[in-house]
Amino acid sequence: MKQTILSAKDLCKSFAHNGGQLHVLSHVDMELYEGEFTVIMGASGSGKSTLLYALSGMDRATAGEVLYGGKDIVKLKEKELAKLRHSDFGFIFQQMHLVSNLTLLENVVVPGYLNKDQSASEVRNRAEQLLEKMSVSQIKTHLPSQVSGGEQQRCAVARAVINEPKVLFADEPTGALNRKNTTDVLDLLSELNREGQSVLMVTHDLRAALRGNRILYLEDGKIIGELKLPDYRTGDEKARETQVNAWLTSLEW
Amino acid sequence: MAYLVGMVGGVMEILTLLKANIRHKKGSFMSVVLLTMIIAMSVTTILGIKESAFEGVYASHERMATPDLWVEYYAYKLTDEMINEVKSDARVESVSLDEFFFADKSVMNGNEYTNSVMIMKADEDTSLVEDDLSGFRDEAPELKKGEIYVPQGLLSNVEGKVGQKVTLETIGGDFAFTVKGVLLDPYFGASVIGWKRYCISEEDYDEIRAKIEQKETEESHAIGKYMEINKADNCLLTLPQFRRQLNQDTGVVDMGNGSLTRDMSIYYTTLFPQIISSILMVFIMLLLAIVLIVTVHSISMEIESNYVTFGVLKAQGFGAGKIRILFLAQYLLAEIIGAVLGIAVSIPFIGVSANIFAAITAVPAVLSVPFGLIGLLLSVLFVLSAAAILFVTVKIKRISPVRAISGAKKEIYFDSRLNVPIGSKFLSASLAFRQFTSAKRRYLGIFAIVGILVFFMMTINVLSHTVSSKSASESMGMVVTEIDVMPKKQLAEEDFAEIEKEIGRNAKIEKKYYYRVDYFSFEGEQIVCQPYKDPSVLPPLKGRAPIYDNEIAVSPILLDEFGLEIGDEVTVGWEREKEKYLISGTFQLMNDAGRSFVISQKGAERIGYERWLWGCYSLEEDEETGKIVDSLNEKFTDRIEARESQGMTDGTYQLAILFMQMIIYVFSLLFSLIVVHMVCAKAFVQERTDIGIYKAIGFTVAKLRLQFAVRFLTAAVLGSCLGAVLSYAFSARILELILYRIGITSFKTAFGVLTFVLPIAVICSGFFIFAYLSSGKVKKVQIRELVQSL
Repeated sequence: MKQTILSAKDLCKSFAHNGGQLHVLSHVDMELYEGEFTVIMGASGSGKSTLLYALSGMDRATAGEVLYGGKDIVKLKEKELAKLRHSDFGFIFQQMHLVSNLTLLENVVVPGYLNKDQSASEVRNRAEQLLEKMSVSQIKTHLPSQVSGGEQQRCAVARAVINEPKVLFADEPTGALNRKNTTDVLDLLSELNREGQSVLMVTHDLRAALRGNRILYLEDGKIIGELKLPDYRTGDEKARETQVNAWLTSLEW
Repeated sequence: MAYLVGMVGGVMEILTLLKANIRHKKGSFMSVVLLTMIIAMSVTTILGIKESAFEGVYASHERMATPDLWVEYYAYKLTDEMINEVKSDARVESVSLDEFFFADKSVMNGNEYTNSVMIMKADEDTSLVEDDLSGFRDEAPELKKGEIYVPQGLLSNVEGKVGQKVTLETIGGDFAFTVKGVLLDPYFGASVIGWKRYCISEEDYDEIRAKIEQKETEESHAIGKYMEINKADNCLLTLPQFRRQLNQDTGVVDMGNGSLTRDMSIYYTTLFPQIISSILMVFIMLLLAIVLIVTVHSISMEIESNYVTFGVLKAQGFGAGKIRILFLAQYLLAEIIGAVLGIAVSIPFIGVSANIFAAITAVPAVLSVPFGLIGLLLSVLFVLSAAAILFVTVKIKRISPVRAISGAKKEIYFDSRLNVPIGSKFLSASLAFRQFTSAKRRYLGIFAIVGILVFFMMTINVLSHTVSSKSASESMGMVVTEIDVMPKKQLAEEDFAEIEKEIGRNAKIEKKYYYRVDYFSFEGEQIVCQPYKDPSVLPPLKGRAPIYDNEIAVSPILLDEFGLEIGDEVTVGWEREKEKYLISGTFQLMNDAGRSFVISQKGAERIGYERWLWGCYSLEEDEETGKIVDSLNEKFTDRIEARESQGMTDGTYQLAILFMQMIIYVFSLLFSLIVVHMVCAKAFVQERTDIGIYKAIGFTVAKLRLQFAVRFLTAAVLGSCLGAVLSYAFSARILELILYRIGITSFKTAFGVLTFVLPIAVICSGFFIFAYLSSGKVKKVQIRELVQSL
């Protein structure tokens, strides 16, 4: 029995829209388990990213609870949320969003420095190791504008895990990458998950979704389906793809 | 026709974009409106107040029908022969005479006015102004015994009011009067002119005159007469030429104790408003330069952040010319709105503050706003601004639609950086510094603006410090003393030694000067002269002191005015005697606004000058001055009269400089606020994504705001260094140009710690605080903005 690390109860999120309210999330209940690679899928506009942002404390839900470590993060103060973002959660954006005037190495060490549990040299060593692992150590002194999108995203992964987060959130991490870079980044995420990292990824890419061992399907702000899969490394990939495809087709994806 | 339709179409396109731009960039538009409004307000207010003060002086002269030339004599010296000679001169239209007696000192409100003043009978020509100087009074009530009318100049000097008592000390005794009103005397009423005239009742006048007459001796005269001379209409000479030529032919000025033309009186009366408004106008010109920098900077940033938009516009067929016209229209519209609002707001303000200089000019201001000049100055701003806009928007020509749309944006931002590592200890500060060095051009404008503001703040501090610092004033050649001793009879060297011994009992004498101030004839012109026992006590600007009895040293202003050089020979006269003297050097002399010269006592004796020199003492510590003066007057009562000196360090000057300092500091902070707000708003738009990223990785709002503030602080610190360098290099020169009118031709800058520290501290903390406040928008950035879909 896997342990719940994060859960959402009756989660709602609305935006002001054309003088009215646009309900993007509607009473979502879900749980995220430790060490799992959970994938959220859904059509465009279904609320996938909104759910991810609400769960990760990047945005506040309009109603409902997001429980993490016994606390409802919806009710946390701005300072507490900021601490949560740099110490417990890691986040990977679709557009990488590296700080453009910092080198790749600096982009990774800055959130590390925010975490006062580690010394500066420890942060720096870990950042160097991560960049090595992400195969971008040779370009660590480059600015984001001087490297490719794939290299930027690998750096963004390193940044997201610099503080060894409890949960790694990824919002369409391969959405802006070519085929080769997509595979590289997904391999990195799979490897991290294999090492015990809990991952929650939003994607509409079937190949990316195959990496998860649990897929949630969102439609009109509600979770309407859940598919459990064996570990990515085990089993036949073709059969896995067929299974997921069939499931998605049944959900009219 | 097709051309006309095309043109109308072009205008419509620009108008549509203009409206959209103003709607979307309200903050930027309003900031330019506000900056121009401040400039227009300042220009209108300063010129309006100055013009009103000047108009008041002119109107007062007209009202009082003041003479072209005024000469004052001891009564016994003015002969009928002299009067007739002047009257019969073809250049003279009319001559009138009046009698007065001298009072040596006026004591009011516990304060002393130590210049000799002329006491006259009030008559039907006596005219008054309202007690608060708000206007002219229609009539002057007849004075009763014990009542007096005095000009505002006295009240300003002694901090007195109507209704208070004034005691006049004369050789005939001391007499107390109640001030019944403020006398309108545009010729001598100003607080900066030493001569003064008071009016008393006929009964009092006759009574006191009789007592003085009894006390008059050959060495001590106190009954005088003055001659008021008007130039004939057909005489085309200027007033200085008229005075010089009339004096050369009749000696009418040489025989007097002093003379003044109407032009000179107006010059001295308006000197102070002129200097203050000049200093403030220089400051306004610098603010104008700042507006231009802000405009250029703002447009430059706008082009960078709208690079893609301009590419799209170009792709749609908009030429660079149209986009540039759009910028021109947007900024000029903002400036014109600001200018109109500024003028409109300042007019009522001038109405209530026009009389601000009345305490100095001693006449009511007459409201007058020089719209033509203001319009001209603001037109210069518009023209310069248009030129700057056209210059900075040239780069729009170089925008390639394809390159812009395909994302050349990244090449524009953060194109260079300094290798300062990001540290964990000062994370926010090091990140702020990185952000600063990555977008140096964005802060270049702030650097220049702070440089200008700090430069001028330091310049005004230098002026204040120099005027209030005795050593600094002395280094410029000013004679700054604490005690002046006026002999009542011829004193021997032993007498002065005894006096100095007495002073030395309470304070150490730092410097001593034996001199006097009197009007001598200089090349036929009456010029104030300082006969010195030892002129070498003064530091010469060029050449050397006049140590031989055939030498004089002059002020550079006098040298320029008469087209002379060191080594030239000039004619100097005292009363009827004249001799040739060589100019040995130049001194910085401030008497009569720098129209002055120095002679040795022996040199003066060559032309019959026999007046007793004063002993003036500069003390190391001035706390005991009052006590020393009292003990000198008590101990040597029959030989001398000791006084506390009045000079440049007096309250009026200090107050005026403090007033200017306040205006300059307040305006500098106001400008800083607007500039920070403008730059911050643009930086915020450009860095919105980065702010979102920083928030996403765990930075708090407070930390991000601190980063913003530190960047502006860095720019302000660097700008302050520029300001300090500019101040060191140019403050003295600027002050010399402005203060030339009061005789300062060589300004020695005295930099105190506060001179530097105060402006830097004020501007840097202002920038830090304003940037921190402006960065409040960081709160509004949502991390959600980083995501591209729901």
